[in-house]
Formats: sequence, structure tokens, C-alpha cells
Amino acid sequence: MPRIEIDGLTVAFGAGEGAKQAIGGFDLNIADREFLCLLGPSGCGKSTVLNAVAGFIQPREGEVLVDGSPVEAPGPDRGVVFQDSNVFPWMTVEENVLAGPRFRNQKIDDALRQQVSAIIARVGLNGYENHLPKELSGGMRQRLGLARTLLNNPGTLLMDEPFGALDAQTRIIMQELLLELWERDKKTVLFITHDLDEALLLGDRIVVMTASPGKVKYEHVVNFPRPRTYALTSTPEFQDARRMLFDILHVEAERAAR
Amino acid sequence: MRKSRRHGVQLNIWPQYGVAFIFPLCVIAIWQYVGANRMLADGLFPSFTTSMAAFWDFLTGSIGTSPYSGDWLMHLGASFQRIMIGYLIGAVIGVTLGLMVGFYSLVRHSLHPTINAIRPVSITAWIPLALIVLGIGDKPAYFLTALATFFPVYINSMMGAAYADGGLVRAAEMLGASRKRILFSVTLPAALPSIAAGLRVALALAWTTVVVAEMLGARSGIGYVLIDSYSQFRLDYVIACMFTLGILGTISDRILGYVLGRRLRWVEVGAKA
Repeated sequence: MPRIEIDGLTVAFGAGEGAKQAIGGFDLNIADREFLCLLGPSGCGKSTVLNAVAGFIQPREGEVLVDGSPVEAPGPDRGVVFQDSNVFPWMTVEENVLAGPRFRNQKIDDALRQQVSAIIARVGLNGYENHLPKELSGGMRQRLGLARTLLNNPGTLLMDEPFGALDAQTRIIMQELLLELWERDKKTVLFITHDLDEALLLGDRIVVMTASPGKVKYEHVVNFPRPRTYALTSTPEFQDARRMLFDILHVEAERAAR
Repeated sequence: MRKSRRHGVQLNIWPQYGVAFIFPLCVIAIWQYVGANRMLADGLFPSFTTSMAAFWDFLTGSIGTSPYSGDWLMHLGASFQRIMIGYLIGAVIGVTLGLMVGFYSLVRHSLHPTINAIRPVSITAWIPLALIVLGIGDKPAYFLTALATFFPVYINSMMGAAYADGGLVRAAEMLGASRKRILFSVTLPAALPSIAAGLRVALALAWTTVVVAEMLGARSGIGYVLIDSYSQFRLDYVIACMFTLGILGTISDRILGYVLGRRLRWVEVGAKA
């Protein structure tokens, strides 16, 4: 049984004549512990798919099943990492990581505190425990957003262009960090991006979407061996796959731009 | 991210401070000249030095020519108590209702239209009703000050809650927070900069209101001394009262600004990617 089943998902915003379909009849299955990258031109509804799996929006038609049961509301079993981090600006780094347990009225004991400092260290934020988000760089805020989600040990990670707003160098560092974390502790990942290199570097499988309203256009299984590092991106095999996917994506990007 | 210090600006600090003194000194000089030569209002308009002497007399009773000589602290205390109580009541109700109305659409639909319809009625228009229902004394002052405080605090809390960053709310939902939890742990802090702005605007309004309330419906307080000195043609005392209000208003605004600023240290000024 797939971990995530998306069946004929249709999402529209607005009502009646003026309603705009963001996603129309979208199907996708994600296997347990699979790293799936959803690729598409901007405005094609990639994030809408993720928001429906997260439970932030309800489908107008079709259904989204996680572990066989329909998604009704957001929850800590589906950890979301947002594009603009959405860390709580009034909380320190440590308080942000602890926000999940606090919000769920969990008891904060020593074991949990140890977990918190372990996760802060794993994303490389040790030494910044008492800093406020405004004192962190964009990359560090993304790491904090990731750490906050990882503490809840979610079965599924939903990542909505998490490195899209970062500069090129920081993005590479974050991609390598994510590879390292994921290869150590495999989770089911739905990763939204419009960056081909990122999708090929991280994913087990790439699904390319059509321009709005988005549907599945093409699927590509990524067979590069793991563990992977950024060095993979300069191999001929990587470049070949990149060229092939680029053409497919480019057609859709042109349609989206029109 | 880090603010760079520009040396050119620092070098210019002294001339800038110097400029700041020129204007008030000119105003005082003209005021003194006009007052000392009895040039305004048939000589009733007092000079700067006469007004300051009246302020000193109000404070210490050293001259003793006014019924209020030396009673400064007592009247200030009366005004201060009224403003504190009225402001606190208005602020607490304003924040509570504003947050609820901004957060729960059912509360918004049932309360906001009515509150918004009452809002355009100016505070001074409430005075006759307040005096008749509540009598002369502290109570109408409490009521009017609370009412004046309520509206800006309410509107700012409501807007702050209604326009709280949706991304932060989603993040909290994803982490498993209940609706109530989101209200207190996300919407309230996210609305705090807006609430703080409302609290500061309201404090200035509260001072204005307490003076008007004391002019018309009290037997003590700075506003009462001001209007009673006016009816005795003691314009030096009127100015001493105005001076008191200016100083107290500034001090209380600074204190509130400092307290709120400490609570809002997390706010990133001028940046939201």
C-alpha cells in the first residue's frame, strides 16, 4: 500500500463562475520511504498538491489518503517545511524546536530536552539556541524550520520549495544536509521544487506537472546510487538526465508563461 | 543584516542637537516678550516666567495666591488614578474583544457591526449621558477614559488578529496546535505589534479624555484645576496645568513605549521576505 495516495484531486479557489481550478484530476502515489520530487512551472499547482496532503486545504473533488485514511486536518504526522520557513519570530531557536510538544501540551522532560539539543546539533544550529530568528540567516531559518518538524518524528515530510529563496551556495549546503539526514533516517518525502538539479540530486522519483491546471505530465525514476553528494551533478549521466527533463519542463514553462 | 555605523552621521550629532534647542528658545523668548509687555488678551496672557512661577507655586505652595497652591501632587494623583483605572479597563476589554472578533468569525459577525456603529460617536458626546447616569466624581471619568481607550485598542487588536501571518498559523496547525492554542500562542503574539500601536494611541486619547471629564464632571484633578483657574482668570495656573499634562503625557508615553519595546524585541524592523 502506498504511503500517500492522491486520487483525482481537484482544487478550485473561489466559487461559481469565477472559480479558478488550481488542480484538476491529479493522481499520484508515493511509496513508503520514497523521496518524491514534484516538478513544474510556477503557478501549476505544485504547492496546492502539498497543501492538500498537509490538510491546509480541502479538495473539491477526489481524495487524499495517508496510510489509507483520508486527510482531514493538518497534524504532526505530516511535517511541513515551508518556503519562507514560518518559524515563530518571537521564539528563540530552542523554543521554536520545542513549539510542537508545547502546542500539544506535552510534558517537557529531560529526555525531550536532550532530543531537542541533538536535533539542533544535527542541523548545525548548536550555539544558537537562545538566538531569535531575526538574528539568523535565511539558510539557518530553514534549518530551524526543518529541526522543528523533525522533533515530532513525522512519518511524512512535506517540503514546499524549502530552498527556493536561498542563494546558490547556501542551497547546495542545505541540499547536502537534507541528503545526509534523509539517507540516515529515511522518511516519505514529498518535495516541491522548480529546480531540476535539485530534483535529480535529491529524489528517488521525479514527477513533472503540466501548466495550470496541473496534471501529471511525465515520470522519471532517478537511479543514481546513494549516498549522493553534490559532486553527482557534474557527472555525464546526471547531465543527460537533466537535458532530457529540461526539454519536457521547458515546454510546460513556455505554456505557463503565455 | 547588521546595521553598519556610518561615521559621517556620528560626527554630525552635536550640530543637530544644537539645532533642536534653537526653536523652543525662540518660542520662549517671544512668549516672554509678549507676556511681560501685556500684549495679548488685555494683558491677561501671562509671560513664561509668570507661568513657571505659577507651576512652582502649584508644586510647593511657595507663593500661596491660588486656592490650589501646593496641591499639585493631590490633583495629579486624582487624575492619575482615573486614567490608570479607565485605561486598564478599556485596554483589557479592547484587547480581549478585538482578538476574539479578529479570530472567530462567529464572534465577528455577532459583535463587530454593533461596536463599529458606536465607534463614530465622539467621546465628548457621551459626557452628558455619563454624568447623568454615573453622577459627578470618579465614575464618569473611569467610563469615558475606558471608552476612549477601548476603540483604538479594539480596532488594532482585531486587525492584528485578523491579519496575523497565515503561514505561522499553518505552521502551528501542522505542529498539532488546537484552535484555542493558536489564538493564545500564535495569533496573540503575531498581533502584538499592532496591539502595541493601539495601546500607545489610546494612552494619548485617555489623557485628553480624563481632562475633559474632569473639566465637566469632577471636583479634583488637573483638568478641574485648569478649568477652575480659567474661571478665576488665573491663566498662569491654566498654563501650569497644561505644562503638567504635557510632561505627564510624555513620561507615560515613554514608559509605555519602553515596556512594549522590550516585549517586541523579536520584531524584525522593515523586513519580511
